[in-house]
Amino acid sequence: MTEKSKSLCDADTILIVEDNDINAAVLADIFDKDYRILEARNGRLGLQVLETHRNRICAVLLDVVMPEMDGIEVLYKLKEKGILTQIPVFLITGDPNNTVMREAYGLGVMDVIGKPVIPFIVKRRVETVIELFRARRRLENSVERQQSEIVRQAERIAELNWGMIEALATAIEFRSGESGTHVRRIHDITELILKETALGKGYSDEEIRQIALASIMHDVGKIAVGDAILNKPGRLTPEEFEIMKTHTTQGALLLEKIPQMRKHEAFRYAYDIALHHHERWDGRGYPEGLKGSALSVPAQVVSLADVYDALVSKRVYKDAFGFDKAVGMIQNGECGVFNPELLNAFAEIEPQIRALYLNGERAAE
Amino acid sequence: MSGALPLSPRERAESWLAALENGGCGRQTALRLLAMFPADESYLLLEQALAAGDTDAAFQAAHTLKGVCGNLCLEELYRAAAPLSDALKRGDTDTATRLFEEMRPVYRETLAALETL
Repeated sequence: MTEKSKSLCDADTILIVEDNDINAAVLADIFDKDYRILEARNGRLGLQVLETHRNRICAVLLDVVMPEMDGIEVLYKLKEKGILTQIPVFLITGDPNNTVMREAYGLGVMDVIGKPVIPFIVKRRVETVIELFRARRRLENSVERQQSEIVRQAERIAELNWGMIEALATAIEFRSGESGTHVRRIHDITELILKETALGKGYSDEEIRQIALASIMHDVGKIAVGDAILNKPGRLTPEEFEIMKTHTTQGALLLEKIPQMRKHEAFRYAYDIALHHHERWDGRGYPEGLKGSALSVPAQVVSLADVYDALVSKRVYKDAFGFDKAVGMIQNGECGVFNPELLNAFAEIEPQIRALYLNGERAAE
Repeated sequence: MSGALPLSPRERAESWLAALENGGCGRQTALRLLAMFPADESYLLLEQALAAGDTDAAFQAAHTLKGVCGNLCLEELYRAAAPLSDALKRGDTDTATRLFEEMRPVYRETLAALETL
């Protein structure tokens, strides 16, 4: 329960706004055994008390004819402040004619009580409503609690989802003899480029989160590539390379075959990334040879992240390059042509990407 | 205050107490509330406002007096104050002034009766 709603539940004070001492005393006597009483002698003071003690007040008894500010004027102010729906206000009038009643009910007054007041009737009418407001507040609180519980459970499920996707991707990665950190790196680099550079413009935080999650699955199609090719230490023959290239189409196919995956918000990104993370800006990538802006931004970003991570990591077929060497190779087009805008963004953010690796090494030591 | 068998001041005061108790008021509370009446200024304010020709102030005072009498079950004075308040609401000061003159003895007798408690 929040502090605010708690205090409203505990509201135990009736505010009496009435200019005459005796009339106020008559009302106070009805309630002072069961409630705290606050009194104000005109409408203006009544508003002040209500502002100061708003959370303590469970009902307002409001006289109509008063000096300074009359009861109807007070009602207008209370309506303006939205208080009439939070705290029940009872108009006490010596002249309960239709015009006053209609105006008061129209403004949102809870009830109109005629003077002279008959204590046991007033007590009953006011307490019934106070109890109603308290019950409503309790109900709202329990709904609020249940809602936050549902949100927590949804978060737990999302975490579990994430964990399973990561486990799958990592398992595939282990098969090709790579360290378990590759998918993590791709995720972090993708997120960093989209979040911190102009390339991510137009993507919401939630979309970036999903793209980064989808990037983890870029190589799932490798599960369909045999060990002999996947883990071959030397250069692949043209035939072997053709088979290796199918991990893009196989990955998209695999993702498409999992019904739960198809329904996932990240699916369209995952499918696109798995299929297109080996395409190049000049159309000389695979499998489709897409060119330029036909390539989605997420697929472009992941392809660059994938190349960078491959260059700076040790693989069965190569040693690790230094960071500067890797940056040079990418900028020179030695790993295929990338979108110039992407290369600019990459140049700008590369020190931060490098820091991810260096911090990671320190953590591993 | 009239009637075929007029009540004594004490009997009158007892009838107000009984009416208050009937409405759900405890006897001690009823006594305390009735004891507040002589100090209430609305009768005095009404008299002054009528003399000064201030109809708004007179209405406010008459309205309050009516309300107080009603809440205290001061039946006779309430019956005198109610039409007075209505007249002032209409702006009818002539009627109000006449009704006020008729109310004077009722007010005095009410105070006298309250003293017996």
